[in-house]
Amino acid sequence: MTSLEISHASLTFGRGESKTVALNDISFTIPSGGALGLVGESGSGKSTLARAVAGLRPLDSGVIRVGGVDITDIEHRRRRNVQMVFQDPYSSLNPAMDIGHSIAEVARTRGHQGAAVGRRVNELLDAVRLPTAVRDRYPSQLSGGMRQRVAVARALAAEPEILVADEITSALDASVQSAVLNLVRDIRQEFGLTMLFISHNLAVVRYIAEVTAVMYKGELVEMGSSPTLISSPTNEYTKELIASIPRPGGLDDLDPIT
Amino acid sequence: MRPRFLRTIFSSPLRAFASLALLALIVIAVIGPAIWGVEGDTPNPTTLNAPPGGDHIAGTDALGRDVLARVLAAGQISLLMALSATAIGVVLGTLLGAVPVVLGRRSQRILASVLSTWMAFPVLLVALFITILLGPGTVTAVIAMGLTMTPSFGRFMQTLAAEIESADYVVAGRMLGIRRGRLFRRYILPNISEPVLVYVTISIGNALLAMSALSFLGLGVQAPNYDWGRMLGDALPNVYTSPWAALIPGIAIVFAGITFGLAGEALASLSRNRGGAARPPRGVPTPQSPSAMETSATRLNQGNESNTEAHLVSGRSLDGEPLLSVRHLSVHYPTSDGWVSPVRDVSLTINRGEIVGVVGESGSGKSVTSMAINRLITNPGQVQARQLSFDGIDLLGIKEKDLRAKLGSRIATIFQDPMTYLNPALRIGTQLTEVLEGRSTRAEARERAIAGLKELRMTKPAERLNQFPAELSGGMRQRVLIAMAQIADADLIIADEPTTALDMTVQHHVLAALRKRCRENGSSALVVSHDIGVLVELCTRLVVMYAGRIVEEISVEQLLRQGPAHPYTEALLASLPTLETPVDKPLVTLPGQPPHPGETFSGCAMAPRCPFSTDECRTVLPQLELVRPATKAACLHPRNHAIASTERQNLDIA
Repeated sequence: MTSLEISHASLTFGRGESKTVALNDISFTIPSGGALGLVGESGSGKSTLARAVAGLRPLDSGVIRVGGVDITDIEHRRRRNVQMVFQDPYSSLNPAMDIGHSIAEVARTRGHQGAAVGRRVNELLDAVRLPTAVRDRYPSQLSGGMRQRVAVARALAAEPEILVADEITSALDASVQSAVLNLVRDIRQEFGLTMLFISHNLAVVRYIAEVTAVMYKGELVEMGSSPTLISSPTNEYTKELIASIPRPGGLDDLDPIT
Repeated sequence: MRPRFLRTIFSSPLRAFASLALLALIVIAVIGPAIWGVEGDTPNPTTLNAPPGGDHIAGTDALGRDVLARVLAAGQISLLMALSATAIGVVLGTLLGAVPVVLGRRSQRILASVLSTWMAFPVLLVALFITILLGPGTVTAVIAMGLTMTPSFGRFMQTLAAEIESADYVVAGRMLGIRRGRLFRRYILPNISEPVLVYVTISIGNALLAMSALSFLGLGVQAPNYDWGRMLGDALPNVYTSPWAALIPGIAIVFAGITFGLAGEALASLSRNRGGAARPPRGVPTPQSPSAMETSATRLNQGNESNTEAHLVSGRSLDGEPLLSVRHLSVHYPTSDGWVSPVRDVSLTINRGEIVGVVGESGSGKSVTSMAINRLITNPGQVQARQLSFDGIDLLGIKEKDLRAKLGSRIATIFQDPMTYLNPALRIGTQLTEVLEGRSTRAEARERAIAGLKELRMTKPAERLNQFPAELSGGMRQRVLIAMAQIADADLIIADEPTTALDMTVQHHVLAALRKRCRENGSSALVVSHDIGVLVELCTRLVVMYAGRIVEEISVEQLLRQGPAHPYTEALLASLPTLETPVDKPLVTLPGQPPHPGETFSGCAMAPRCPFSTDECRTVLPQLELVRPATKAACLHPRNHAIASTERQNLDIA
């Protein structure tokens, strides 16, 4: 178990008129074994931050530390202790490789050899509640929910300390989403992961993470324990976000003519 | 396996011809020199330039050698040269084009610039230059040809690999620590192999033509060896007296060129038939082709001529009669495994001023239902219904042009992606006022458009009219579509996932705008969504679909007061986390997967996943029946008890 610390992370896209500030001086720390949920609309910078933590996008300035160690300049292919699960389960698995091999190849990079690889694959499939029979299947033969489980199993095979989950249930059906969310909660405990959990859905974030941070136009506008942030938001955008969650009669208090 | 393979080949004349021609070429190449080599090499002074016929079917050449035997014997070297040249091109092209994607940034840049420089040289010139430099000969010609083919292969591979490089699975592979060599072999190569194979096959034909050209010019194969190009060149001096000696190798070159071209086409058609490997295995065969959308867009925009007539019709209709009436609607699609029916026996009505929500998961048939009502199902999809009528107008047997005349713009459509509906080349103002053409002056129309946008809380409405769709955000585009419906005074708005692509806060405003439109003008709406929370907030009545059928139809009021009657609706509501869901307990889940659209059931499609199912459920297909006031459910064991407190909490927020 280890902590994730982001301090003064900034990133700007483009130059001149098309310049957009994707991340503006973002700082937070997720304690060892903790989970921070990040909400915000598209373009708020939440996915950019996820990619920066995973090493897929260098920062202009700022520092990322894992367990106190500065990893800011470490290339993503060497940043093994940070792993990410992507939004779209249909594009995040190699269509040309069966599930067994795609988990096994990651297990091998962690030093497993011979029969131990097969055992490890079964262990991981078990951890994500998939039958071992899926080893011989190809991604195209699996449903979205099953693929997302495989993606989680692969990430776990790399034995990460930090897991970044970027909108991992937004491409799934409602009845499948709840099962994947349950799984995320379980593996967090089982594997002692520190987690950065990103979603546009506040209710989903609240369920997974004890601390919620709200991003708006590249800035971290509000952060606090999830129940407090939801019951007594202080930032205007956070208030609007909470008021926008669909509920019976939710449209009555909003007059479109202003 | 084998009969199936043969069936695939012979299912199309193109594939059958290409395979047979390719087989013939291969056989000739393998056995040619052994069988006809000696005959083709033996000069016969008694039969110089003999015309076709007798002993020599294709005549003889200037040295009395049999032309046909020579052509058949030369097949091997001609094909081998083409294959070797292509192989050189493919290997070098892969090194320069595809391999760099797994290398570092710097090597990537260097190799890319090598490739670009190489591309700048004219192909044939390079080939000539190399052969002259190295001295004419078979090996030289092959190397020269291979080198000239390299840049186009390289560029092709580069484009394909670049696409794959940014795919999530390659990024994930890198993060997971997969080594470069493996990444290239197992991630990049297999996923670009299909188009590369097609391109390579076609290129072999081109290489054969080019190699023949080199030999023809005397730069390729040198005497006493000969290929088809060399034969052509040797026969040229006598082409007016004995044309056959040139004609026959010419035909061979053309035949081989065409064969490889067609084989490439055949391979391409095969991979098209199979579709991309990365596509989801289940889900409805997607009929929402862009052309279908365009058709409907033209319909809405051009069909105002008889609007007054349409209004007369609506004036005549009885008040109690529903605006939209659908009875026993089914939609069928042919697939390689027979017919699938994404919509089965759906009946629903929409009254004036009502907003009806259709909810379901992927593959439930909700979108296909709305498309069938909107007449957007195109060939080869088949729509069957006993009744499909809008305001007394029968939409079933009606012809496309009568439909426009009768309906005008009375049905408006809103899609998940508004760009499929908006014309990117026209200004917003033009598209908004188009629906009013002929009904009011331009200034009036403009004013109404501005008022419409203002009502939907669009900032700077007058400026928006001069903008193009691409300049607006997704939420604004969606509001433009609602404004269009408003300006056209549509009686029915059909919206398919109208807010799915939008941010929460924008969704809130768009939903409010939609409801306001219906409340104030008495318009009706059919809103399809995967999000039951959105529909509970927006609609007056809900239709829940599962596996192509309606499993529950319930007024939102009843749903909020009594809870749903169908276990599926119940599970759908309970599985959604809300702001009140206890975080220390697992979420309610529905075991298993939704069924495939092609699956057939003897009983209830939900039975395998349902906690309340009995043996009866697996054999008896439940009918949609009234089980409670304002609640119809297709279930043998409808839920009717006082609902548990956690579920009620979910309902409160859903």
